Amino acid sequence: MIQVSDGKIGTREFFSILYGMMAIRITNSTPNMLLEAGLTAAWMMPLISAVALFVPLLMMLSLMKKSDADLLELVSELTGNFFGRLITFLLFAAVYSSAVLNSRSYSDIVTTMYYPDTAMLMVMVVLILGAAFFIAHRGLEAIGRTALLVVPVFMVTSMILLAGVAGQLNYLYLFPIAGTGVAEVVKGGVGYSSFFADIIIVGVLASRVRTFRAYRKASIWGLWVPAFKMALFLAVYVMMFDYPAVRNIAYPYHHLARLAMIGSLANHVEAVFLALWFIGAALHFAIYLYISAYLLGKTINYPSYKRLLFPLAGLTVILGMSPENHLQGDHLRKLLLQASSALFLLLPVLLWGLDRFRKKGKR
Amino acid sequence: MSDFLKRLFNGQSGQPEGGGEQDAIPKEPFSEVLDVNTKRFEDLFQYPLNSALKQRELQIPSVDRRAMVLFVDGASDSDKIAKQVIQPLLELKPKPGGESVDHLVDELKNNVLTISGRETIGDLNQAVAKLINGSAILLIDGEKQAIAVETAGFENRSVAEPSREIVIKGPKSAFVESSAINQSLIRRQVKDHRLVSETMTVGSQSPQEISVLYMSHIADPQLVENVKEKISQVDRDAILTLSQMEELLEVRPYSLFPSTMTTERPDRAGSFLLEGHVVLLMDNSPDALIAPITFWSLYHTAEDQFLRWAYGNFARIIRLCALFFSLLMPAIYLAVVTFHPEMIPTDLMLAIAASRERVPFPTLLELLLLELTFEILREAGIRVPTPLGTTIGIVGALILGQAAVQANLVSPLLVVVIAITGLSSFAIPDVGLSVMTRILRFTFVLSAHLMGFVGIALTFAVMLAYATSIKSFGVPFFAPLAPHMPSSRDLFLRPIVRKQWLRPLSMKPRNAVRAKPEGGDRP
Repeated sequence: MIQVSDGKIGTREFFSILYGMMAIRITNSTPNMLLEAGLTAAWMMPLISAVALFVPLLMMLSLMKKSDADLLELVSELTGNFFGRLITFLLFAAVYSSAVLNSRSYSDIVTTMYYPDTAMLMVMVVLILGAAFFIAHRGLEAIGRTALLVVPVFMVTSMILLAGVAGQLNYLYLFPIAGTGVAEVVKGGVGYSSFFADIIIVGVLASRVRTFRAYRKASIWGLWVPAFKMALFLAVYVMMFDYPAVRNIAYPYHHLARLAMIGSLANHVEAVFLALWFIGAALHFAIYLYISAYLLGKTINYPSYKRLLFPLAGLTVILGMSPENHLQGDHLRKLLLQASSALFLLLPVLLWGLDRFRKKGKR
Repeated sequence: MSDFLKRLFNGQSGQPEGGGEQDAIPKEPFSEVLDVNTKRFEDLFQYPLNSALKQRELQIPSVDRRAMVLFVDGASDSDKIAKQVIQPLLELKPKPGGESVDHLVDELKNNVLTISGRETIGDLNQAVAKLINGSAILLIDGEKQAIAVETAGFENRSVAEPSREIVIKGPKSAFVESSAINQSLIRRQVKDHRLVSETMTVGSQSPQEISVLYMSHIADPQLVENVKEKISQVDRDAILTLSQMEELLEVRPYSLFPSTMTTERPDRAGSFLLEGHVVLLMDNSPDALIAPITFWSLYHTAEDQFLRWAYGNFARIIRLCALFFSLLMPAIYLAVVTFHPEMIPTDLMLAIAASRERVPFPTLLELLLLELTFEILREAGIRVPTPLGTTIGIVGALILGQAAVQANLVSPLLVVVIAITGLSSFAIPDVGLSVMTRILRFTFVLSAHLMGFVGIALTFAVMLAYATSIKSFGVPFFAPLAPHMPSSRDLFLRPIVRKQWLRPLSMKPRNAVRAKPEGGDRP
């Protein structure tokens, strides 16, 4: 009983949170960016990103294990109070702006693909201020448990979706296998590695996971499973729509869902996938809001960070409504991704270097 | 306005209650004079206005003292008193030595009264509590102590079959209104000397006994302490049934999700005990209160374990479908018809369109109308006298449904949808869970009306987040699935009995292992 209500989460919940944060990216405009950069080889880029992030992740894990601290404690301990706050703020800015841009992107998808007559503001409000805010407000435990309940369903249904389109796939479309060229693909993969940077960000929640072993196991699985899922789906998009047509399809996941057929009777099941996808979206934004509030609370030294959730959620809706159209939003997102990639790739390296340097200094 | 709301939600009527003090029982010791003691009892029970208190005066021949037997009419068994209290006293032979006068009360209690439940009491307060629970009080002139003899003789009905949790295969006895009989039913299931039964009292004016049962070697001591503390915090003048207690023990009385449950099956109570739950029993309540509970306690039935593995699991799958149907079916119908008509195969779509053609109402109104009618039918069905039951069923279901369709009030497809939904809600085993889904259904209908599948999805996510975050006495609602804890995985489906060797660790049992490990998680 005491063990249960300690406010900590276990391996499976933490893995589910990571899955909810990252795997859902196959459904928004992420595939478009990757397909643009890698063409037929886009499916390799998530794997390259994961490899590029794996080294910083291991560095962070080794630091955490050594000093038994979470990411924020490491940052403030190794870089001092001022720089620690600054880095915390930068993390907050990256996480929060990603939440803002994505929330707009998701509402765009709904109004473009499914409900053309619904006001975007309405979708934004019910998604962010309604569901995501409520879920985030129930706390990290609730987020983790909800994720644990729904993530297996997502895994199974995405396999069903693939099975539903399997008959229409042509693997020859994947060739030329290297797409834009090996160098380009590798560059793009590293450049877009912040698609998986959540794995570094969740370091701030490390002290909320029951044991370090649980954290390590969940974060390693939580990096590779979404990366493989993304690679698989990117490959399927290309096999389904063929290059160059795939570049012109705005939201390939939703088109895939439209084309999926389960048996001969149910040939329009996209509404089911819409519902499942939106449960995932609510969860995704709940996690982002929660981490944003947590980071902002740490930055301004405000311990009851849950009170920041509501203003942040409201601000998300307002800021999310400000881009004129989704193209602007996508452009901003690209900029953000490339800028924050460097931050997330280099932060663990910086910390690790500082730690080394310090040790030498002590000696 | 805010004052009104505050009062409404605090449950206060506005005027403080001050009536209870005048009749409080003084907590004072007995006097040595028999007549003084008797007078006190008479005053308390308002003799002779109140005919409840019966007195039987007698002379104990062996010691030549006067004595008085007091009991409450209707609460105690007068036959028992005559045979096992008065008769031995009158037949008592004087002892040759005569030293017995020193410890007369003990002597009488231990060596004269043949009844097994008896104890010495020293003050009026205790005596009255015993009297109203059916004991007889023996007062002896010249003694400052009295003897309470257990002669309770309340009317009981015999053990019958359960009416809510019916099984085809398995034991068929159900709890009755007597706490003593219920305890014996449980003891018959769980033959273990470590089954502890603690007795507590609730109700300040009309005290009732409540028994707290748990397995001392399994249940988490902190959990037991927690439950007992909750009970001792209850401050009411009278609590008549366990259902009232249930609401007083709950942390979230306004919540739709229950945090305790009742069962009327002794075998279920026994299996809960063996998993480390606490079981509460009370007189007048033909059920046992289980705390804490999880979603699984509400979803499982006793029969799942009695039937063979495949049959039991089949029933569980059906029940899970029923749960989702009951919760979502009308909402999904509404969303499909109004937002996603492309989901329906074309032929069916045309059929729906044709049947909807003559219905003048929007789908939402049509749906609410039928749903409301069904709920009224269900509510009426509970109170309809049994001989009329079938007639009402035919009138309600067949004629009303048929006529509503023919009058173009509702479309025939919707009748089918509501019928399946209603049937599904009957397949949910627990009353609390069933009513909860019925209420939540309207929320889903409304969200489907506003946002289609997106609305349903968001409402579902919110509901799930709420359900996973609530706790019943510290145990999360979906434990041990989410949060994941080692258990025997007796969740949506059950493993074969041989593999159920581990108790759910979410209950934090003292002793987790039931049998030799075979399959399942390792702790």
